[in-house]
Amino acid sequence: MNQRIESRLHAFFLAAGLWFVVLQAFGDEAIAVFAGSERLAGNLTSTGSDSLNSLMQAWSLLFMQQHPELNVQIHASGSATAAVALTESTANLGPMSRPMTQTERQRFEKMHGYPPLEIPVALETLAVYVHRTNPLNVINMNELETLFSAEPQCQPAGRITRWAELGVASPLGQRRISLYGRNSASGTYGFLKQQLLCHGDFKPEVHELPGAAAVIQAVALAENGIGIAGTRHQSAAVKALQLQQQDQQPMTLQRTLYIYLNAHPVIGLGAAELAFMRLVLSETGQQLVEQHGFEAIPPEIRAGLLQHLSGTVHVD
Amino acid sequence: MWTRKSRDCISRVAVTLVGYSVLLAFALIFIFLLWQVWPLFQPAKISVQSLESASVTMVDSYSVQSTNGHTATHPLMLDNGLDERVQLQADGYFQWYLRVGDDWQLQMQGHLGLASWQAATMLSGSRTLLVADKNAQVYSWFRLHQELIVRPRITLRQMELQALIPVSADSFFSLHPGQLDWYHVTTGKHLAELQLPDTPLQQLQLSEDRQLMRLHWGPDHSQAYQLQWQHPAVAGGQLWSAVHYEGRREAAYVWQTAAAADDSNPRLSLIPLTSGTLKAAGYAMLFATPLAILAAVFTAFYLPERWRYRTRATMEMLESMPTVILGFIAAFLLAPWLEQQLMLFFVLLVLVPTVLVLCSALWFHWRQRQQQQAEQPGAVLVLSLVAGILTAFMLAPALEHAWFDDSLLLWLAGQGIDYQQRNALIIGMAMGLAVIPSIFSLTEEVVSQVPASLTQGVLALGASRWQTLSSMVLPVAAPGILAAVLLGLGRALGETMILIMATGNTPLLGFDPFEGMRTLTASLALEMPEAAVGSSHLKVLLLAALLLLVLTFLINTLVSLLRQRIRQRYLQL
Repeated sequence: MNQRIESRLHAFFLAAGLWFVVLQAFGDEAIAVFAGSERLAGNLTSTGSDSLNSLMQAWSLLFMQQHPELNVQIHASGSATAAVALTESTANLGPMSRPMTQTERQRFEKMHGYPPLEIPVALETLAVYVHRTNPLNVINMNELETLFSAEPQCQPAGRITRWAELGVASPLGQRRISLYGRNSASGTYGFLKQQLLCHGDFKPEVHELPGAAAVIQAVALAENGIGIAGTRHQSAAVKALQLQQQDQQPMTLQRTLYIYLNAHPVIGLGAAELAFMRLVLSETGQQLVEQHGFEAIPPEIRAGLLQHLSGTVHVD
Repeated sequence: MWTRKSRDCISRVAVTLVGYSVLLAFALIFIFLLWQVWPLFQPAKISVQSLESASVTMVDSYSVQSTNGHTATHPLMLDNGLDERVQLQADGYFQWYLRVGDDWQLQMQGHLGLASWQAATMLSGSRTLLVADKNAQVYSWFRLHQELIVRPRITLRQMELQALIPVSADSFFSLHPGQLDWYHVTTGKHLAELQLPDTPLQQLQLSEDRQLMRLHWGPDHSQAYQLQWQHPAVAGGQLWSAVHYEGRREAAYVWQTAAAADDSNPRLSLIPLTSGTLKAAGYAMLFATPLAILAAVFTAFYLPERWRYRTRATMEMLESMPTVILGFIAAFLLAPWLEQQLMLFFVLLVLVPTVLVLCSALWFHWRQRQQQQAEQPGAVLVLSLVAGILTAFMLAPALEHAWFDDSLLLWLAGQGIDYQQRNALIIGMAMGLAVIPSIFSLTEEVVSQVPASLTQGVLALGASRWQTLSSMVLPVAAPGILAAVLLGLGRALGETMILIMATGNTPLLGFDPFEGMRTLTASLALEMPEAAVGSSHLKVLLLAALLLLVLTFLINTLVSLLRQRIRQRYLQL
């Protein structure tokens, strides 16, 4: 009885070994065809941002083509989950549409003893939209802050509630301005709270919609509407206003999207993570960024980041 | 082996087990929520920490002088550790600076309006200046541009005050001889206290995360303490009362959370969300209750058996309609249409029922004059409905022109009533539609189950159908109809998808029909995925979930009780 089991086990191991050899041969071939870089195997898990999800998918697709033995899993469950997953070491990559907060950093440091590695991977431009029939073309930051904030913090200002106060003629001028923005869980909301409102509060009247596309759709349907959203979902039904500073200099509202990593100060990044980040910051990786409606990180900054990334890797 | 008896026994055990496990699961959810929410209401505590584990580095340290630290010639310089600085003279004259780049720019100066003061400090990482006067009152100010805004005063212990020490962006210690008190600034609540030895304290140190404190009475006499205060703002009563937050001009009920911004001072008032939930449910019930009850009574009492069955089936189908679809239609079709055709909507609302009633009355008189029996006027009803709608379409623009200068919206705006596209009327209609089937089904059931012997008896006595209905059927079925309405209310309170899509999620107070709202359910769905683990925000959301659970549980219990009662009543009759 025992002998039989033993012989079966032997046969099993033999078969498994053979299979492994075959796999390896084919795997090597595949890598030679696709990239010719070092062999990487195993799993990469990414947990985090919704808005970066499509981009992460595209990057990981490209990455898995280059490294067929590597499997990349992507969970898009919101930026806040990235910090938690990285802290608990349940993810290797933490895409976030906003910088980590102080509390999240502290939690990570408490767990690991060193801060997380922050790599900007794309930029997103936010634009201010109005209905296509709206005669307004230009708005300045002070007016925008006054419109959206419960109590303006950056600049002292009066109140703006009607379109006439922005210089729009009747009949639209008589109507109240309907405000549209993203919901409070989004990175956009947090970014605007910091950059536009100087950490002040939003008015409770601001409609909080669950997506950038929803904001644009809502503004497209409301003649008295004004909304702030990413330029990715822009359509012909809305008009983007030109943004100006106080001194009439044109300006843009641009936020940075990040991937956070767990890089040990001595051991450095894992080889797979490093290869992935190199791909993300490569020319092809940044072309994908632009295809998805975001803006690429400027090349000079990328070069610095790549150097920084290599620096975090310890060579045995 | 498998006798009838054993099979019976086994099946009974299995069924009982499954039944109990479902009940247990429900109880577990309840207990889980309670357990999660419990820490919110735990008071802050200062407890002695054993020295060995107190190896955390202390970043902030405050020396305590035995006498007051200021004189007229040496003004006190206070600093929030970031970008604001206040220079305070002994007579209450202040100069407020802001850091711009590397320079400190004078923003404003003036007099605090206090003749003298004992101690002052600036909260670290915030913009609030705290000054204690001789009568143990702590005043708190913050600068809004060129203006000082006062927040509510805090009254300290009537003892000699040695120092005010900032703990966090929102709390401070007041140090007295032999006594340390801990206050929360925004809510003004006393958080905790600590008895100190009589030896004069020399130094107080705080760790960066403000979880640890070390007190020094001399070079070799020190003690570490643990500060426990996960949710001071909530414990301070922020949930249900108006709070004057830094940066605002007055106290308000505010719900505003941002996962992205560090919220040392979250705005977590449940009042706007609760009022939003009640408002949404209220308007939905206002729309759904009369329609559903009338439709149910009609189906049960006037329709022939064949049609009754079909209507019931259709209603059941409506009930299973995904609410996402209703939400989508409400947000992207109904809301823009209503904004364009507001006048038409109101004219339809008034005209259609009026025309219907008028036409049936006319029809009835005409038949009576001809000495004929007035039958079911189906065709007349349809015709008058069409006539009503057509008249409304023709009349609306004319009326709008005559009464409201061509635009009801602009006229309303002129009256100070601002119409928002996503408002309570839209929610009333969309969610009302979702609620109608539940009210309809139960009402129809109780009305049609009124014992036939009763109705036929009343009819045989010569009562008309209306008399039978109003004086017999409805009173008998009343508890059942009430149960149906409550069931609908429970459904409306728990509804989420329509609200997320069509309300605009604006946390406003009040019951304005032309404004939107933000409900508890929508907040849960929108904010839960991004709320940081262990934060007050997440716990308050779970509290909202608990509230909803308790509310729906109560309503459903009431419904069951009412149904039971009506079943007994029918048996007795």
